[in-house]
Amino acid sequence: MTLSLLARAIRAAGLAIFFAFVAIPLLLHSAYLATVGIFIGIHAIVAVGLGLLMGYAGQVSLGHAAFYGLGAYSSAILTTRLGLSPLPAMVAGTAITAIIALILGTPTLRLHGHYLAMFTLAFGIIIQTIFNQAERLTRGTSGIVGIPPFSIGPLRFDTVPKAYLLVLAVLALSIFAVRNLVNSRPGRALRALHESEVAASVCGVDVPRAKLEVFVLSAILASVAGSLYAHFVNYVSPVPFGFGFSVQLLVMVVVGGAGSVWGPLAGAALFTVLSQFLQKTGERIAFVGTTDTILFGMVLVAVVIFLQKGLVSLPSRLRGEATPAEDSGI
Amino acid sequence: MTLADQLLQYLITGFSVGIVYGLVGLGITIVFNATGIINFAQGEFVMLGGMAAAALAANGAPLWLAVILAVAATTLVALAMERLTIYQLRGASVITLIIATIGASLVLQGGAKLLWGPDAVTFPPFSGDTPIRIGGGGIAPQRLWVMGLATLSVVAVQLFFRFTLTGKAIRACAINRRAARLSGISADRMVRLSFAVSAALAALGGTVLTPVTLMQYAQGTHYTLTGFLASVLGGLGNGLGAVLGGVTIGMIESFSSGFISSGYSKAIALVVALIVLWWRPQGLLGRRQLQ
Amino acid sequence: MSYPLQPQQVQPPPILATQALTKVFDGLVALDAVSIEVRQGEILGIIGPNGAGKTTLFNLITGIIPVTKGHVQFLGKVITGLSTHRIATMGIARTFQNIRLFRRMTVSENVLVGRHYRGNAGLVSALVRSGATRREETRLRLEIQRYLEMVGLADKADMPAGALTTGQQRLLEIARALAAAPQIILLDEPAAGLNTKETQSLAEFIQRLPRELNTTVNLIEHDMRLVMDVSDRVVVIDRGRKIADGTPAAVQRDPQVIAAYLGGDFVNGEWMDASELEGRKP
Repeated sequence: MTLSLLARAIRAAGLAIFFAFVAIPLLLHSAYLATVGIFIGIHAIVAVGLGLLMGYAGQVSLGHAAFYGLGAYSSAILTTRLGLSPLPAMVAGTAITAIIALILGTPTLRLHGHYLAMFTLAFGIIIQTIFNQAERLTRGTSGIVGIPPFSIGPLRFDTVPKAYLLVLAVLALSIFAVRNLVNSRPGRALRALHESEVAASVCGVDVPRAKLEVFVLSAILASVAGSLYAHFVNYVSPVPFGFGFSVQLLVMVVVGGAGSVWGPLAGAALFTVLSQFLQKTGERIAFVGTTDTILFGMVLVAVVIFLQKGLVSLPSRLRGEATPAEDSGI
Repeated sequence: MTLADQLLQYLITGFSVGIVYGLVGLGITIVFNATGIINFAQGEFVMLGGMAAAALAANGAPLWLAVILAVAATTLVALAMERLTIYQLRGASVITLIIATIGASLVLQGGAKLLWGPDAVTFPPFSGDTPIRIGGGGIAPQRLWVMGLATLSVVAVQLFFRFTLTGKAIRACAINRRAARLSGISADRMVRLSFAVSAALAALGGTVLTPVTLMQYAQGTHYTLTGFLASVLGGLGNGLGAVLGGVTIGMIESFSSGFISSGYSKAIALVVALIVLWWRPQGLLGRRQLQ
Repeated sequence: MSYPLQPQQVQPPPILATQALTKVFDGLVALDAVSIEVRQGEILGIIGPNGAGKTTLFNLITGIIPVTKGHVQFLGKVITGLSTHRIATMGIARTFQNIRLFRRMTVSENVLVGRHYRGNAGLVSALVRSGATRREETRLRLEIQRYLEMVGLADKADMPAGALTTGQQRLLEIARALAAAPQIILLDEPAAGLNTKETQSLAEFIQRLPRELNTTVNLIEHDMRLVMDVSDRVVVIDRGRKIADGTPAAVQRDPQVIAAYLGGDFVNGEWMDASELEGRKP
């Protein structure tokens, strides 16, 4: 079928573009491009986790920035105050975040739809407030400086290209793991409970436990990304870890397509590139600088209107298949 | 100030801020009942109302005119937003619509910043700012305006929905869209009307509150989030519940700010709200869902 | 003087039993002290006018809604109050009146979910795709082939479930339930929406279950001919109460049953009369 050939061509082109993009910053020795790539990668790691939660388990989280922040702050505190080296600090921080996610996730099991959204929104705000207020621990609004670059033993990722490769590796690992999950027994259980919790229960799926597991998993991914962020930027403050970023994550996941593994990655890339573009252009063209929020908002609305089902499903939509996550979320 | 005076202060502050949260929550509820979505730009209407009124007053308009024009202008903006976003996305999923409203809120925020700059603005209180002495402390008279006008609007809206034909038509749409359409009610018109009413409420809240708290382009988000929390706390879909939820949150914020810590006050209000929802998942005035 | 009991007079204990099972919804009594016994290997039909409470009975047994009063026993153990998934793992499977398939998943994935608790792979081992996980996956996929073939959907294994016809979807739901290798399967109106030929195949299929798969069957149905043909015993429920319990022949002649179907009350606005009892569709 010509259409299927077209779809396959698009998919192949997409992959080629993907690999090209991945290689370009290194080939061009551009620290700027590599930095953008690092942020895309870090955002993508969180987005993939959130996509799992929303697209497969059908849950929503309007507070995921909190877990990202928890990862960043625990890495920051453990390395600067307790002198731990980055890898054990990340592991410890991820464990802390996982425990908090377990505690916060348990009440969400009984909630659905807007109640769930509100609950996650609330704890996102609560955690950011704690970042702001617990000054002895987090240094409040001034933030924590002097976070060392990430290192594994003697291997230090202290240059931009090295950090870029690190983030790529972690991203690749995350995508690999999530792909494995989706096609496995627990992955099927998740997709099943998304469609009908009752029917899944009747098949023997422990629905509350499955939801909790994926919630904690998505929090772990966010935490790892947060740690990478802290070690790259060498500074954390409460500002990036609030509702604004949670919304950005939501946008990345929904616009990219929550029901696929690559969708959130595409969404993260698009979003990060767009905001970078607006920022850079704003520095050069005054008009754009003052209107970047407006432009961004308009682009967001336009994208949502014209691409209701997200980008990554485009090839399969051309093929005429049913898309995996018709409603991308709730 | 004696403890009683302090308590009165907190009560009044809490109620005056809380009732504005309640207005936002009520607006969110009205739109939710008509469309099934949470309008995440609702708080921007508060912000726009306040800032527009400030701009008009700064340009010489008498206060009463500034307020009316600001509310009217915000309502028009809301209708434009509805036409350009919600209307375009008829039939899309809830999350898609919510993201569209988030995009719209960004446009409104950016627009406000562009028009009126990044600084906070204000205008003079309606009846001067000599505090009214009560007991050992004083209340800003504007707070009384806030409480009075906000309560009046809530009552007016409730009467509207209960006793006017249009109001009942909107409720009919919320309950059963198809049946309403078959009875000749245009769902689209009802949705637009709901947007208009909710925006007017929010804008009114914003204008009366601005002399007390000032208004800045980025403050809308706070009102959106708190309004959403208020409506869920009160029982999603229940307008009176949203108002009650808003007042509750405002009170808890005020009292915890006074007695515990002002930095943590918002978080404390949230924690209490979450505990209430844990104990009563359907909200304060919500009805328990049958399985 | 006692004679040794004849073998056929010794009844094995029922594998599923409800004792005075009652369910009240906000003042409405949906089920009123219903006591039923299901014997191993039998096909038990459950009939009754619309709204009589039959699906509520299934929902109570499978733990989907909480019991108001009474108990459910399965394999000698009290299962009242246990969670749905726990009850499922004990060996009770079911289908739904309004077909609850996982429409966006493929046919074989649906059946694989049905076999969920026969597998072990947890989240962590799935993420890393351990050897054990891969081996189990292969095993599960082989094992479900049998059920796909039994319902004739093996050639459609990779189709999304939502693309099947109603008849095929009902069969898929049954295959999904059977994939758990349950002791007992509860079928809720499996013939709804099927034509005569499909209903006939279904009847033959149901009759194979106790022998071939060692599975007891509980069957809710409105299609009288189907129920009377396949059931060993029939229970009649009317307005929440059990009003008859016996062989198909006995139940058909029971005056209370006839009255329930002919009775002066409209049930859900429908007038059910004797022609229903004879197997003609309304």
